[in-house]
Amino acid sequence: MDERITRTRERILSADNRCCFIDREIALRECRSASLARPAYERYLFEFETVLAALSTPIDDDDVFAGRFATALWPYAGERFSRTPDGIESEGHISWCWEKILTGGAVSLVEEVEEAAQRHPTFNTRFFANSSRRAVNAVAAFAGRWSAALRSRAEKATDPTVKSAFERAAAALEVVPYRPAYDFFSALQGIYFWHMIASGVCGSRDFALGRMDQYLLKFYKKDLAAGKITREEAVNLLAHFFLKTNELCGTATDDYNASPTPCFASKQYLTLGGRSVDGKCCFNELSEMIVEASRVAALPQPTLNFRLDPEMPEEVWQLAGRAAQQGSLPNFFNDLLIRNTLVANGIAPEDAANFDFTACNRVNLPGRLYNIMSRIDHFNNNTEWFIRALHNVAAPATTDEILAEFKEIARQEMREYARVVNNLFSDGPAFRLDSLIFDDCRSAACDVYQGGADRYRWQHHMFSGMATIADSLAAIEEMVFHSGRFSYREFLSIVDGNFAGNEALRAEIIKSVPKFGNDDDRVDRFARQAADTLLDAMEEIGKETGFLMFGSFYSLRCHIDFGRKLPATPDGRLAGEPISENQSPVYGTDLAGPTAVLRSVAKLPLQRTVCGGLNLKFGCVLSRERAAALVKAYFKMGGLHIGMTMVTRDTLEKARLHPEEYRTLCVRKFGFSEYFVALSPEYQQEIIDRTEYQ
Amino acid sequence: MQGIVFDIHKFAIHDGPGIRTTVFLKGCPLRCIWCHNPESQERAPEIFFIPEKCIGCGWCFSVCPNHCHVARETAHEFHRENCIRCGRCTERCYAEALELVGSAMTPEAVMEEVLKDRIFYETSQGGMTISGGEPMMQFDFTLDLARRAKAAGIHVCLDTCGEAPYEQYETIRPFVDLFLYDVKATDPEIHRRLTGVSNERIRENLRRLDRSGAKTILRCPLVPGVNDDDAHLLGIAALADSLENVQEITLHPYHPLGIDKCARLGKQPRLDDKNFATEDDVARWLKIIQAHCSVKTVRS
Repeated sequence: MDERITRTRERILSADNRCCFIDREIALRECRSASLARPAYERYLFEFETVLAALSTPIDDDDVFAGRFATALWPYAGERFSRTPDGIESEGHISWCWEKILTGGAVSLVEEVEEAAQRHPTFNTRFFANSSRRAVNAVAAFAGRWSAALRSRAEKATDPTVKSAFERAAAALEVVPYRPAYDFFSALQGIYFWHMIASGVCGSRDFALGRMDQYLLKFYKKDLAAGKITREEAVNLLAHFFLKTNELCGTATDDYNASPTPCFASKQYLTLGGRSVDGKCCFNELSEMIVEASRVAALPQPTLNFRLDPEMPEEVWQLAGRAAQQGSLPNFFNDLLIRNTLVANGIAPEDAANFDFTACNRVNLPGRLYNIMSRIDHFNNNTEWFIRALHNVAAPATTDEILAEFKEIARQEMREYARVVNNLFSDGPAFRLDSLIFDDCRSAACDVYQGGADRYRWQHHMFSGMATIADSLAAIEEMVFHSGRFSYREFLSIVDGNFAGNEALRAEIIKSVPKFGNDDDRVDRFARQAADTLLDAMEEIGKETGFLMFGSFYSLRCHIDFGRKLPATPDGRLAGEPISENQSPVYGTDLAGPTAVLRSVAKLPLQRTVCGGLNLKFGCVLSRERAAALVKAYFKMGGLHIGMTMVTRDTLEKARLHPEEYRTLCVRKFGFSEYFVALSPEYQQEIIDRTEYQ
Repeated sequence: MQGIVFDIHKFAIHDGPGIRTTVFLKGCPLRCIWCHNPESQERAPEIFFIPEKCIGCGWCFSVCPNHCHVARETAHEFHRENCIRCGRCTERCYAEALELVGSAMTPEAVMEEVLKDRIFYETSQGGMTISGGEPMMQFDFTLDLARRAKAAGIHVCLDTCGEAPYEQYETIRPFVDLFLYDVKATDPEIHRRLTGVSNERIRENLRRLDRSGAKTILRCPLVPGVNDDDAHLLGIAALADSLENVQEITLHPYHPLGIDKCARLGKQPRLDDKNFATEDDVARWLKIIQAHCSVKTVRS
């Protein structure tokens, strides 16, 4: 066991979440008026250069890879961090063009832009090209300062391990990320350095590591063949690299005790496997080593996302099972389903084959699609649409009449959204580092904010509360249409009255009306109908507005926020209670175990969607074989995503009482993994309450 | 044909290989003092009653044909002595204070549920497990389920205590892929004291099944201070080694969850030990058995 790993992990876990990236924040504070004095379009680069020049280079004796932000408490109590309009910022949620940065160096990105600007010389293209050059030069200069700092520490180091580690990193940073990586180590060092700047200088979260087992493989193979590295050493390097990603975000979470760094809750997704455009299974020896390294690092980042399909070889499935069993909290995605949906909706097959993940529920087309959150992703409060539809229909005789009205409302809402987001961009000069990722930005010397990465005009609609809606339709079917115990209006007024004075009826609905998640067609068919209704409406609006439309059944934390403002629903949910989460059944209603849940969820039209999610919590550790078999069976039925947590309720209760003993305990929340002890008491309770199997 | 079924448990992962569905049948010839499923002992349906959950809605008072449910001041009393187990009171007890344990089902209805999870059996090499109670108490029904499962290409485990006529085992053997066979005590007298019956026929059945080529997993419930003495642990090891077709020994450490269930049935637990077996206990058992036999031994 490498003691440096243990000590580094300990250092990360004991870091003070109240600290910020102090050099960055002081530099931004000091250059604020100078920045504001400039034209708006110049502020980004000015601040980027200023911050990079001001950053210190803190080094630890256990460092294998270099790159770190100094952290400290903000000394200006009561004063907020400086953020200038049009200054340095990013929305994150993208993966860099790692393949190009590693094989051509960052300089090759600039050269591409400069050529384009020469072909089409305008003020804007020249501005973009000049800014690209200066930004990448600033990164190279910063890498040079790190290299010098490492050399000087190496000279003083007495421990030969420390000395050689510093020398190796110093040598790498003289080359990467500006010029091409020359071996496995320098490739990882280059990635980390660039990733760190994106996350912590540009300042955002969820920059993704992309398909690492693909773009790193040639470096590993070359070193292995040349005898420069052993498999074991490579796994060790990967583990050190993985630890570093946790250093960026610390143990803070996005809703409790959050760290005041720009990337405090960064979920750094790493995509494994998939298939090439010609159908070849892409899992390789490096995929396996990445899973091993994740076990060694034993911290939540990076999150491993598997691109799997049921026809992949058994060893691939066993690898997936192992990742689940060892507590890496991986996500499993049905590769076939996602690719087919992408292609069917207008994405070129080679782009579809190369998808990766940049957030818990965000399919990304690296270099092709700019996932501006505010423009692309939309969480629809479609349970509110449903409640509105219930009231708009006067005296329906069937659930179909309710769903027809539901569809009309869905169309109106999505049409309005498409209109609002249609014109977000301006025509003026612009530059931000993120633009260098995109092939189209580079080949046109055009920033993302000028529409440079608009090859695919894409909208991603997230729908939530499907189980709440299905259970509600089942309750109406039973109480009104089937048994005739109530007229439609009578029943609706009981629901609108929050079941006051009708507690027995509510209890009866909860217990006796079939619930989504128990493999019961009497209610699962409503989930499917309601889901199809939403996707039909979405596709129609896509045709009308020209957007490529993608849908998912995913709520993130909206099930709580939406639910809080919604009145009672016919399924017995009281006003203000959460609606159902993601694709899951309503909490506590899935009484037939995980296989029944999977069978129910697979009845949703998932083949028309691109993303997750379904999280299952097991109160035991499943064997590798059973974990793999469960996911494989689900994907054979047309399932799309599973995230698994294997931990007992007992353990969670203990962790709540004795957080200091459970600092590394990770659980899955919504779509991503989190330190349990860092969650707010409310979320801790929700995780504990979530149905547990076995 | 109908059987009395008290649970169809999907995603069973402790009752044989892979992902399984376990069908629990009521009725058992043994009365093990540590029984963790006391609701499985009687063949007839029973009523679970949890007074703390009662919300006083009064439904059960009005539907019970024998007036078993009585309001005594603020308490809800359930006079089981007159209960005919019709289940009417449980039907609409939304508070879940009253629950009917066991209901008559046809083999078709059972298999319809079991077959729903076929795809999970296929990817995990799992299948159906028939358990109880003692499924051989409802032999015709058990045989019918096993036949149907085999005809559908599903792997079948039979979880049995071994206390049934050998002819019945011989009849069902072709339709069972793996017997989960209980080993509860080595000494016949101790066995009688702990379970109510001697283990002579049980042992004989096991030997005959083994000679016939039937594959078995020996399932050994172990209760600290009751049947975890060295003599029995060595007895398990010797037994496993003396047989040809034992695939595995599985140790089932004692847990006290049956005590609550006794209360819900209005019965007294025969072993009132509320402590779980400890990890140290389990480690000792595994060590002793593993040292003395060649059969793979695991904990459940």
